[in-house]
Amino acid sequence: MRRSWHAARRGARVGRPARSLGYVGLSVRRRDRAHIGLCPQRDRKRSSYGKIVTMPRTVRRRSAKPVVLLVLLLVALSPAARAQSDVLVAAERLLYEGQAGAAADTLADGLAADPADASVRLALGTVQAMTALEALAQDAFRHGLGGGGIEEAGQMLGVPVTAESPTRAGRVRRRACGVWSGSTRAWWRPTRPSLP
Amino acid sequence: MAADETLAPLTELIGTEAGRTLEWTVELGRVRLDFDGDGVAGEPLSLLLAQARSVRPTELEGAAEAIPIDADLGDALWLRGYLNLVTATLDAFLAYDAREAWDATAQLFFPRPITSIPYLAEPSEPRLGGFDAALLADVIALIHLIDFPVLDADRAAAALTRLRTTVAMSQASWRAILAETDDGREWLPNPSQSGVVPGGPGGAALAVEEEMVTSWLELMDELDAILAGERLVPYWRVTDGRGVNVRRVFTEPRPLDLILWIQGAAVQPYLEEGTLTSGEDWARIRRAFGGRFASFAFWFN
Repeated sequence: MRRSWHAARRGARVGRPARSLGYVGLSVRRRDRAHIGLCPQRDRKRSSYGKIVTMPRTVRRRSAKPVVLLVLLLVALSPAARAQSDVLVAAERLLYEGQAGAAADTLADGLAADPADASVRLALGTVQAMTALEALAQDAFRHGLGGGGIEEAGQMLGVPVTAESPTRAGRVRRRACGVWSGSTRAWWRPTRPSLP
Repeated sequence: MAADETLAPLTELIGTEAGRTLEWTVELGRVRLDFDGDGVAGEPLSLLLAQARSVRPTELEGAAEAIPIDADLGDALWLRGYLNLVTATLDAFLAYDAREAWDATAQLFFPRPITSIPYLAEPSEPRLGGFDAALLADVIALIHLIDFPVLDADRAAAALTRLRTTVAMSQASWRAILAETDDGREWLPNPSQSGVVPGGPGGAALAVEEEMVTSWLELMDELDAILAGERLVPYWRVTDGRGVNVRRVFTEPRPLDLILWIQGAAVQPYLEEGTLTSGEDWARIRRAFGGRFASFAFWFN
């Protein structure tokens, strides 16, 4: 007996193979199973547009629900999965505590345990970028950036300066910033300028 | 850069499935970094961002947003692009020897520079009737000393490669972002998504319009053609149709003399006949961003 096109389409939908689980991803409704069950046993075949129109009885009739639940349970309980999840959580906490270096170490350990974990890889790359930025800023601070300098660096970007720099270099730099930001008046200020 | 090497396998790892959301959500605004190296974590990034946006001190606490982000493939490609841009900038600078200029004029930029001429950074009172002679002398010295010899030509070539990678990553990231159909907490939203980056009107998140993306991708195509040497950059004193081959500036580096670059003599070795990049196209691209091109370019990478 031939089944209708609609039944074939429904079968194709529910029987679409999951990449990793084979056909255990079926969520076949009872009505569809009954309909498909009219087909004799045969290997699965595809229509001209690639949809599965028939499949072996053993596959059609198998209830996927327990298998899916079992797989989900195993994934949830597996030490690797828990460890990866813990790695991300731990790294996040370290980032919020200001320990980017320790976060990078934690993520590196996690990635070594599972190099295929894309989420941990992205997190590690991001944290490595943050630590590089942190190191760059620390180098600048060794030369005095921060002794009034960070505000002036901000002024170059259009951020209002509120702090007074105690050093001549800071005053000079502030004037230079004023020049770069288009304020020619900065050249002629005899004393520390009162900035906006 | 270690971060770029870490991220490079991501595309292969998660494929080209656009919009794929990775399982990492980070509240970027709560991240704290030790910028000053004193061993104590600084303020959360959201507060620094609020300060940069000129938020009043009394409003800072309210401005400390968590900025949670659902990272996806587009974000990963965006980050790789940005890393390559930063590294390219540093490589281009380090390809030249700027030590003499640093020793003589670092006090223009830093209060306590570590140089071989420490007395130049000592405080001095303004002279010449209130005019700061030291400042004028330092600025003149800086301009005079921007005549950097080539230190490492390979590094200049590496900078070019990284710049082209930046462009490629930007194009790839926007392809991925445009194909997204979800609407999570997007670092870079497509025109039909809502983002999380503050700065929009009325305190809303910045929105991206379709015209912006189209213009940005046009800009990337143009930049790639320039970096590949297929499109030349016009020079203000050259009127015979020739232009500067930017690619050769990186692959055949010569001493970097600021004055001669402005005056035109240093440009001569890189002049070629060919197709010039159009100023009208650049103006049209900039107009698409409604006068905020710099801000969006900083964000879009």
